[in-house]
Amino acid sequence: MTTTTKRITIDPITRLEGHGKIEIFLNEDGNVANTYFQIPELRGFERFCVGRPVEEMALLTSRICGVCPEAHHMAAAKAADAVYHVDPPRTAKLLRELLYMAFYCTDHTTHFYALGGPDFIVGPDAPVAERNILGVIHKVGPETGGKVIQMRKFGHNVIEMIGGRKVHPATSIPGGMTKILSEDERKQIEEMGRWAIDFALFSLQAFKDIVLANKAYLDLIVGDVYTHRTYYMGLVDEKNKVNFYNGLVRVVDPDGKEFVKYTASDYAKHIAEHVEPWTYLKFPYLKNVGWKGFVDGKDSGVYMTTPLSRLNVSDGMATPKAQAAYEEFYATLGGKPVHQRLAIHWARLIELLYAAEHWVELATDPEITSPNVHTVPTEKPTEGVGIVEAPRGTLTHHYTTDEKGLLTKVNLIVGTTNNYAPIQMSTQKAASSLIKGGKVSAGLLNMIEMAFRAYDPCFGCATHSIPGEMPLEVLIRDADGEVVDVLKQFVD
Amino acid sequence: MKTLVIGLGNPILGDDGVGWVVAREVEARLGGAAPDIEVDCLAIGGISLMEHMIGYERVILIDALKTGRYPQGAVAVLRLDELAGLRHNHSTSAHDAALDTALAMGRKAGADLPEDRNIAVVAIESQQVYDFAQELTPEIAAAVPQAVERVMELLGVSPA
Repeated sequence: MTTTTKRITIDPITRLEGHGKIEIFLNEDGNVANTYFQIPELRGFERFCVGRPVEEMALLTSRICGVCPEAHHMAAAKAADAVYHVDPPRTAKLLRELLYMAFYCTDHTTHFYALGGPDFIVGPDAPVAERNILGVIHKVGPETGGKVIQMRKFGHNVIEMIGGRKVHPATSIPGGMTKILSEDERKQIEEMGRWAIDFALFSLQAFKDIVLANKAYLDLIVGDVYTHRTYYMGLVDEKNKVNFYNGLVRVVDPDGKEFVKYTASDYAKHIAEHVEPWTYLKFPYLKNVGWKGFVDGKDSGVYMTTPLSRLNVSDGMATPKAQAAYEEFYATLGGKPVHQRLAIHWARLIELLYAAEHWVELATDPEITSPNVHTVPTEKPTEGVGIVEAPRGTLTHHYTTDEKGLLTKVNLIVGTTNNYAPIQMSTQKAASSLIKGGKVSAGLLNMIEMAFRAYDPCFGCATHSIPGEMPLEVLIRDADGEVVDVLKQFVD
Repeated sequence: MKTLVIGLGNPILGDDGVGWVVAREVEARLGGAAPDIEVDCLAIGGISLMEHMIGYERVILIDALKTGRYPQGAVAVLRLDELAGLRHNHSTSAHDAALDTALAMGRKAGADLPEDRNIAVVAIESQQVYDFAQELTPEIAAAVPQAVERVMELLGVSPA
C-alpha cells in the first residue's frame, strides 16, 4: 500500500480576505509540527512616498494606520531633522516629548482596559460576552469607565494644545515646532498630568489586587506556554533608563547582558530582514547573531520589542514612582530579564506611570513655554534616520532625499514588525500546548489570541477588527496535509 | 436634531478613503444651510469614535465595507441596532473596543450619546483597501453619488 502525501503550498499571492489566517500542520502523532500566521499587510507605502517633500512625512505617516499616529509623527519629525542635519532647540524637543507622554498615557490606558484587562481582570475562562472593557469595569468598579474616558480626554487635550489637532499632530517641522505653549496651556497640562499619575497608580493597584493576588492568573503569567527566551530591544537615555522619545537603541541577550547599543543612523548595520515563502511580511533579526529560524536562545537572532523589552534592556525608570514599580516587578518575577510574554501587560502599566510622571516633569520645566521652538535648517538635505519607541515597539523611519528634499527612498520598520518572529513563535507554542494527539482543546482560539494580543500588534486587518473579536481563521491539517478542523471567529 | 455625519476611513489607503470623499460632498451639498448638521472626517474606531458622538442626537457613519459578498460599489444603509458587532468596517478598532461595546461603556459613564436607532451606517462595498493610494478605483468612485444621495435621504434633505 502506498501512502500519498499532499503537498500544500501556502501562497502569499492570494489576497487574504481581511482576516488573519493561521495554518497549523500536525505530525503523525497529531501534535503540532508547524504553524503559519498570515495577516494581510498594507502595501505600496514607499512607492506612494517617493517624490514627496520630506516634511510631509510627519503628516503622512501618521495616516499609516489609526493606532499610533503620534508615534509615526515623532519618528518622521526626527528623521526629517536628520535629513536636514538640523538640531531643534531644547524647547521644541521638550514640547514633542510632552505631547508624546500624553499620547503614551492615552494609548497604554486604552490597551490595558480594553485589551489586556479583559484577559486578566475578567479572566481567560470568562464567557466571551464579558471579556471586554465592560467586564473590566464591572470587576474594577463602576467609576472605571469614566476614568478611562477622562484619561483619554486629557491626553487628547494635550496633544491638541501642542500638536494642533487631537490625534494627528501637525506642528512638527524640520528644525522644531510651529507652535509655542502659553502659560495658561502649561498650567492646564500640568494639572492633567497630576491626575494622570493618580490614575496610573490606581490602574497598577487594580492589577495587583485583582491579578497578582489571584494564584490562577499568576500561574498563567509565569507559566511556560507564554514564555520565550529571546533578545530584547528598546531605547535608553544616557543613564540607560527607559526613554520613549530619544536615546540609543540597546539590545540585551536572553541572559540580560548588553549585546549592542547603537545610534539610530547605524540601524542597518544591526538589523536585517529574513524572508519566508509563505508571507509577504519580512522578519527582522539581529544581523550579527544570524537567522536560525523561529527559535529561542542566544544563538538565534530573533529579538522582541514591547514594554517588557524596554524594561528588560534598561537599568531602571527615570521617575521615582515608576522606578519603585519596576523594582517590585522584577522582585516578584524573579529577576531580570523577564521572559514571560504575559508580563508585558504589567510592564505596560509601569510605563503608564512613568509617562504620567514625566508628563508633569516636562510641564514644569522652566523652558517649556519659551518662544525659541525652531532652528532654521541651513544644510542640504540628504539622508536621515529617526527612531522612537512606539507603544508596541521600536519604530524606525529612514528617508533618503534629493538635494531639494524630495524623497527618493523610504524604509520603515514599525513597532509590530520587530515582533513578527516572536509572534509566530508565541502562536506556535500556544497551539502546541492545546493540540495533542490530534485533539483540539476548547478555547484554542482564545489562547492563541492571548498569545499575540500581549504584543498589542498592529496588523493590517487588525485595523478593521477588535480584541477578542479579531476575524481569524485557523486551519488544522494532519500529517498528510488534509484539513481536519477549521475554527473561525467572525469570518463569514 | 443635532446631527453629525462622519466619513470614516484612511484617506491614503485607496478605496478605504471613500467615506471621506462622500462626507465632503455631503458637506458641499449642505452648503452650511443646516446649522444643526455637522460633517467630519475621521480615521478612528471603537472608543475614539464613541467619544466623537458625545453631544449629538443622531449620527450617520459613512464607510468602506469589505464583505466580499456584494458587487464593488454596492451601497447599503444599515441602522446600528440592526447590526450586531460591526466587525468589518472602521467602527471597530484592534486597539480598544467595538463600537457597540464603546457606546455601552460611554452610556454607563453618563455620556450624552445618541440612541442606537439614531445611528446609521452608509456602507460602500470595496476591495482595494490595503494598497496606499490617494485615489479611489473607478467602481468605487462611481458609487459616491449614490452614497451621497442615501446620506441626504437619511438627513431628510431633499435632493437637488
